[in-house]
Amino acid sequence: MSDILEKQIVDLLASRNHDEAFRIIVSGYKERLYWHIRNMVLSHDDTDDLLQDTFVKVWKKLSKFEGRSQVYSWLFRIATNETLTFLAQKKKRHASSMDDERNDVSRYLKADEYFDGEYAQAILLEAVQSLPDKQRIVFTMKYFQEMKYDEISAVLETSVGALKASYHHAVKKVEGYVKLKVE
Amino acid sequence: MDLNNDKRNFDFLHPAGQKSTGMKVPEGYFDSLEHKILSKVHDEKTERKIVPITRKVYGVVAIFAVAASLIWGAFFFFSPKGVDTNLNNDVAETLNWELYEEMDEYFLAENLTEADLENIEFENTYLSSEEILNYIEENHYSEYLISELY
Repeated sequence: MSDILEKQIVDLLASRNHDEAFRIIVSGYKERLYWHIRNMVLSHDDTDDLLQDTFVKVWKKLSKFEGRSQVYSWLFRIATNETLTFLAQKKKRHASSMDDERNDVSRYLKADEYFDGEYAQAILLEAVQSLPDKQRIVFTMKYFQEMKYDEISAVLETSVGALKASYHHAVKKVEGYVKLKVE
Repeated sequence: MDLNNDKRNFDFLHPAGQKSTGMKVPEGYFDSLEHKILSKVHDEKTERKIVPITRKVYGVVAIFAVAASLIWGAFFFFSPKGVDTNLNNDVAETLNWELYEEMDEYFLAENLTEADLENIEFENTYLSSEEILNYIEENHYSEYLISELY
């Protein structure tokens, strides 16, 4: 993550220039947070809503940010919690049809105007969607976002050991899923 | 396909080795996003400022309305018999009208004490149930995450 950006934001917050700090946060992290959310929920519209909600929460909490964690991990934590809440609510709403829905991801992606990937990419996303929510988050951050374990650890407030174990389980499951579909 | 030889890497699934998911965004989305978010936050700020003051205005108006009713009641009770009740009605209406007329922002600014203003600030914090829900959600998920990761 960019140390310069981090320092710029921290300095602005220290001088209580919240408006400018927020503007730089949005400008500097909008894309990373977008893809962080999108890789978990797939739909662009859902991602757009969640991203906006995330930034509104960031704004509301900005004056209380004490700098105990880095700005980027704080942002990712808020975005992750927003996404987890959304996924949990979605799961409740569609409790009975969730399995069908997950197994139908590739069909959904094919019909999605904001997906132009190949079949194999759709299968990979489908495999990721088949993971439990928390494993999905770890896999997404590690594989798609290419975040380091210590960065993920700071965001999820979980030990690196636990994350490695979680990622290992996720990879095994994704491997199994892809193997089944591709072969 | 030997997945083990791919060092647990799924890059073989992506065209030309690129780690792309195939997902895309509408054209110009990120360019307009910043403006959209800043506008939304501006709206939130405006809303937060207005709501408690509106409540305060209603509160002050209600107090004066009750006071006006009491004055009107006292006037009616102590007035000698035979007085034209139309006159009493007129007096009460005028009294009410005058009190409401004075409920402008200058009147409120002059008459709200520092304690009132502190209460307004307090309402901002106290009534933010969303903040409380966020806190619960965050803590709930931290615990859930730890339990599920193992």
